[in-house]
Amino acid sequence: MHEFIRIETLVILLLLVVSLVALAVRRVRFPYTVALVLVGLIITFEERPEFALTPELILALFVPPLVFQAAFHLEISDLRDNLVAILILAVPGVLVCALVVAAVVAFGVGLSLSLALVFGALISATDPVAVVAFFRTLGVARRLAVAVEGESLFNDGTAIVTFQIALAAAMTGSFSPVAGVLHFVWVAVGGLGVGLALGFTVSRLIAQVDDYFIEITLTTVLAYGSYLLAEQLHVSGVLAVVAAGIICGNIGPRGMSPTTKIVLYNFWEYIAFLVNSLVFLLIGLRIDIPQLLDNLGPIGVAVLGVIVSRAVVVYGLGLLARLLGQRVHLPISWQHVLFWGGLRGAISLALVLSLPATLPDRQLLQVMAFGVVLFTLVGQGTTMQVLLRHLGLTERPSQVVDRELQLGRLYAAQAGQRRLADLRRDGLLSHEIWAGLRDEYARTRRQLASDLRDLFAQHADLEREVLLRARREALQAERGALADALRKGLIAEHVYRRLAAETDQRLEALAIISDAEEPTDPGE
Amino acid sequence: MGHILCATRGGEPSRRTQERAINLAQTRGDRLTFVYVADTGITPPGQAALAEVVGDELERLGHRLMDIAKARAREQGVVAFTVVRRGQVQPTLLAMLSQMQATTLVMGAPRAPNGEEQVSRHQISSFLDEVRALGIEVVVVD
Repeated sequence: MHEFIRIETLVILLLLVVSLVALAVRRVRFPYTVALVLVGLIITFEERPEFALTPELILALFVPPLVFQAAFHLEISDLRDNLVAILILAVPGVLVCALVVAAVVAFGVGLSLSLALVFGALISATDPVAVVAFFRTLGVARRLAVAVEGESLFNDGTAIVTFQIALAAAMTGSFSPVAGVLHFVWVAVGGLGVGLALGFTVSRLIAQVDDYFIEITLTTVLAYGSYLLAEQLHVSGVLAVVAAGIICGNIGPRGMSPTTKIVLYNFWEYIAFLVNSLVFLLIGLRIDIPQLLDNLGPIGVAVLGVIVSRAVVVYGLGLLARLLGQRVHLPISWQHVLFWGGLRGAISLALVLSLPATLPDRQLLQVMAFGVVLFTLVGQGTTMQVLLRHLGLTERPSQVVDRELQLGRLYAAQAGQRRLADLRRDGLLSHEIWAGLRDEYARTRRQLASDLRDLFAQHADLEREVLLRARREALQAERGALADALRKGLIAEHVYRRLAAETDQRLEALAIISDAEEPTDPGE
Repeated sequence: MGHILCATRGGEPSRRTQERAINLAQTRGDRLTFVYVADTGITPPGQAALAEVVGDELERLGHRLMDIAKARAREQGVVAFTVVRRGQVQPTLLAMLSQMQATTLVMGAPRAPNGEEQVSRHQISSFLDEVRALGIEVVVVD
């Protein structure tokens, strides 16, 4: 009981820290996950909480919902458009990365080739959550975000399989390339097969049910169940979750009501936020700074190996694919983003923590892995925004910026005018002062409204966007009002559900209309 | 007096189409009607149950866009009428051209927001031939 209370208290304190960090980064444009790692590091200077960041905790508890949520939101059409690039990066890319890193650390640190290959494999999984969050806020082209996220999803699975093969070879001292390839194919294809089968099954079940509590529960069962079943069958659990998530996210919604879709997406977005937050905070709490400082040399070599291998994979394989006549179609600016956005995170740490105690240089490998993760998060994660701006991938049309400037000024002027009216009503302003300020604000508002009309006249593209956005906000306000009416007892539960469903259908219709209008490559 | 029917859907290309139609109405003294067709064909096959609601929202959007087009014409001294219909674009336009006894059709070349052609040249060409066969002048604005 005492242990349970201790763990519960620790979790609540972690969630409190997560909330405070999330509030703080709203004010500064700093990657949220990097901030969590740094806060975790700072906490350990004061006191290191007692907990075990085990590979089981990461791989079996944290990774399935993260991978499922990312795969759930991946449109098959977007995946298809980027499939060649994603598969090149996720399959031969992982193998090339492992080999290059192995060569660098074997030469630079003096590790045996077999151990170097183990390290190369475990460090090859990318974790771009810190940079993908920037893509959304800075308005980067969706295709680029899909390429980065898609690569990460698939290379998680291939990295784990490659790691298992390399580790077995290191432990037994024997390795057969043919057996290794066959094992790789069996584990990867088997995992995808398990995920596809379960994804289809759950999607069919969801189509038979119209209760979002049940549908959310089914997707939760799918996320964890696909992982556990695949692992039981000795195939890739991560790839099973990827396949299950993609299928459920693309076929499942056909059988869902708009209300269920909204609730389901919100549920998984919250779960992903929660799990990501805990993972990165725990990483920060787990890092031993004195140990890192004692091993700066090997960490430096490992970081160099990771950077060089990433360059070889992104630029080299891309060039090779073009020479072989493959239409990869990744602009060079996007390749720069892929190169610098290859951060490392939870998967690499889970794998390094799972190394058997009898493996030689186990502690050195762990220190190197933590050092690489810390470098990529802090060094690359915090500079990605600068790179995106420098490459011009965050530029928005000038009329959109102008519109937002005018809207912002108008919004501020309206707020100012309302406050003045409050002060006048409370008797805090004399008539003369009030009249003068009121007239001034009224003139400002009229001018701003006129400027906005001129802007719309010059840039008619803004018309549809503003109309759709206004309608969407009005519907969301209607939905909120329905919830208020339910809380106040004005309407019964079944009436609320029916009315909310109607509003959600309209929001879904607006999403369909907006998607039909969205440009395919705004960043190119 | 002739009757100009201007097919429009909002956005920058439509603004040019509307300007052209307004200009024609001014110079010729013809009556001008802006037309918006709410095409529920954009509803993905897997979400066919939402087609009716999509149509409602498209019509609502269409009415507001027609208000903007009407205001644009009024600023240039032209009184314009507006119509919003639901259906497939080409058959609906053909029916309206006949019903409203239009003498001129002004339309933009159908393009997706990324600039690609939405409808094949052959389909456009067939449609325009049908319109001309009704004795109606066609003005296509790029």
